[in-house]
Amino acid sequence: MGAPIFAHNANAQKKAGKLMIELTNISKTYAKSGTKAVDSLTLRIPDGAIFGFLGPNGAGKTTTIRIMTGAIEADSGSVLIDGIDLAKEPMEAKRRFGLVPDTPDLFSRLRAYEYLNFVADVYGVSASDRITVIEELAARFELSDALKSPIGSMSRGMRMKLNLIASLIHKPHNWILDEPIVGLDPHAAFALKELMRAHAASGGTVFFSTHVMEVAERICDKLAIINKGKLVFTGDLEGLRELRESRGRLSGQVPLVGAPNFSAREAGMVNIEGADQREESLEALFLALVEEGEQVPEEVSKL
Amino acid sequence: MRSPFISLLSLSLKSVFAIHLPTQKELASPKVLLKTFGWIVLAVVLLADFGFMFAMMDIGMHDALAPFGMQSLMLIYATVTASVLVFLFAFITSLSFFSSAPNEALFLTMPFKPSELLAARMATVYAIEAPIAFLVMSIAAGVYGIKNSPPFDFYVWMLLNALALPLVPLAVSYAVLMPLVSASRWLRRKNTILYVGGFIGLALALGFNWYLQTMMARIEDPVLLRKLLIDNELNFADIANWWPPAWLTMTAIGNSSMPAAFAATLANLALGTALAAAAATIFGRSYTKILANFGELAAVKGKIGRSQAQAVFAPRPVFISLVQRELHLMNREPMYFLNGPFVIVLLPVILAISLIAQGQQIQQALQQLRPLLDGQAGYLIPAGIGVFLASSTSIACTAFSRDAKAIYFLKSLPLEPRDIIAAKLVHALLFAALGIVFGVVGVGLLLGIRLVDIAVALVLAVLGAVTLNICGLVIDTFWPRLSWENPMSALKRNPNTIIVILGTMGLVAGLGALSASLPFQKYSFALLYGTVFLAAGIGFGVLLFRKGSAFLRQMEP
Repeated sequence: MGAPIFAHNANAQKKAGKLMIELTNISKTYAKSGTKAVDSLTLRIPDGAIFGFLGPNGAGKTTTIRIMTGAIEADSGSVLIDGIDLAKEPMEAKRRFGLVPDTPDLFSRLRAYEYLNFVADVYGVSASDRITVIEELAARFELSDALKSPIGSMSRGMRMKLNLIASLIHKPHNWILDEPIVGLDPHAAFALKELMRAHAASGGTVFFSTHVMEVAERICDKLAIINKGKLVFTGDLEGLRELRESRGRLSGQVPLVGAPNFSAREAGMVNIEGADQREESLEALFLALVEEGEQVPEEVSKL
Repeated sequence: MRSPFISLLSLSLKSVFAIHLPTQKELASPKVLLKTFGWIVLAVVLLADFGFMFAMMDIGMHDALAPFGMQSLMLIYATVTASVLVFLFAFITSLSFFSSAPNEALFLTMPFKPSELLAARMATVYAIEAPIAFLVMSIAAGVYGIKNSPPFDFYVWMLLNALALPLVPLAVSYAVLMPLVSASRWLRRKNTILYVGGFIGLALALGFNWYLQTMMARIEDPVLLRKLLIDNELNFADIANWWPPAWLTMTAIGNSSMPAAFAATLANLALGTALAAAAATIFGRSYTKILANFGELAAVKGKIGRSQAQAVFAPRPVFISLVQRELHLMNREPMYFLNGPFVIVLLPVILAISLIAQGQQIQQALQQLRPLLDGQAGYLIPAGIGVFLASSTSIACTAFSRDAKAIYFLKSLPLEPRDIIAAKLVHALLFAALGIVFGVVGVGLLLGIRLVDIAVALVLAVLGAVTLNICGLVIDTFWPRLSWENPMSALKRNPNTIIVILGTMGLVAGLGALSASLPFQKYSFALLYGTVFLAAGIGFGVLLFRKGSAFLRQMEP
């Protein structure tokens, strides 16, 4: 599916085991507020995978994404996109990814097609390529009828769809999405998940942020959990489940009791007989990790 | 606990006036202190400017009428002026406030009565009108008081009636607007409201300017003033008799009996309050329907067909695309367009009105100026006007402020910072070119300047305009205002705009004064100012492109 969109020369770029996005020891403190938004964060995001970046509101997800896309500068650390240093070769590095920003209401006075054209011009996309991508994705997201509309007249969901199309217009190898599911209708959310899978299947990298464990659990191959600017978990779902098991054993409780906090219990995410225990306990574990802000043992935090 | 209505009213006032008084701790910062001082100076200057204008008119009128023992006509004039002014402001402000309906619609989900929602809005309009009436009436009271020593209660009736004058216009404005906005889908759009309100506001401002210029011209000529007031050419007395709030005001201040004056004042306040309350009650329900059905922009349906797509999606050079983005985002936002590029058209219109309204006096003044225009003033005046017009669009000095949160996205694109900055500069210079043409060529031809002087003025204006626009862009690149919710904050309420406009005014005026005092040859000034502008332009340009990229990289909304 979607072959034209994902013909991003993945084979040429892909080398066995090569890390397509690499963040090393990134820290960022906002000058105005003095808030340390990201603290010594190191992430290695491999190609051919869907990587979920989880955390509650204000955890540092958007700041991390802004740093890895060159929108803001980190105080320390480095970002490599396809092995290219973002600080040293920003133009080249930025051509390697497509970004779906967290605020879809950019450029509200432009018409949808004008916005897509602007992005396509910036990436130097040929007329035939941009038409192909726009036609296919606009049809998939049911936006074909709205391309002449001012962005300001569109709903939040429609604007998000427009940003999704814009982010893929140059067929990037790395696809970075900041809270992409928010505001999407179920049909569009499904289409997006399919696209993400197709992108990863074709060798590309998908990095997306969310604050909902369930979303990550259904889509991700790998995930990282961030809280208060620090990573509290990196690994795959299996690693997260192992962590849940080990926590259960350590506390002498059954695995379900992974959430020691009141809010998780009150939210009905644990100890509900007959419910989907796997999902509930991971959500609870997510909440527990976030609330404890604990560091995960070295052996668990691996890719 | 405050009543919900008082809370709503307080929120409405705070959101409109948006005045943040710095705390003592904040004032410890030199930046905050300087900013606060700047705002105070600006407020005092504005108040003094309008106050001076009205005071001069009142004094002129009083002194011209006093020999005939008819100086109290000045009070009729002040009452009528205040009544007309508050009417204009009430209408424009009420109309403009409909543009915030999408935000206000949130209140529909809260337990407010429809009449409370409208009453809070009307009270906010009143808070804008009342100081205007108060200013006009208190200045008139002051002038009349100093020259005639009336009893103390005269001041009390003047000021109390000043507070009553805006109430009836407020009620009438909503009585006119509510059916209009309810019936017209077209008027229930933010863009339409902003454009219609903006253009009506400008028309009324121009009308008021015409009126002031006419009055000023007549005050200077006792024969014309007598014709105007005593022969009732503008029907001041008729307006005062016909308009109940004005009539009640005149009855209150013209009556020597205190109970009668008190009764008239009370009647004025009661009439206004009753009508405003009636409007809020009658139109409350319609108001909530407007809030619920307010549309922002119309979606356009229709696919882009294959045949169209080739043309629509034709690639352009990145720089052209960047400039086009700037043009679209600025000129499609009414708030930006009306207060930015449109100024290039507006200021010459105001100038033309002054010339026409003061007709004979201006002709005489031009005759007297003729010898001066044959000297350096012949090219310096059009150049000065051209430079001012070219720099008054606020395009350059708000270039990054207007982008605000979009800055993050722009920076994530593979765009060289210098290209983003250059596109913003080109956008500003495109409109600067228009300003130069209107200012230099238009004024040059109007004043009958020689072609050689127009050519010199053009060169000087281009150098000055380019330099000042680069300077404006430097200011907004280094100190952008990126945190805002209302576009007005990025342009009208942006300190960078005020700094650049006032700075340009000061520069042009300063150079004018310098030119009048230095004993140079005619074209030596062109050489001097041209060289200074060129050097400053190169300096600011180097600063912008050397340091601007670093500032852009560090910009964080």
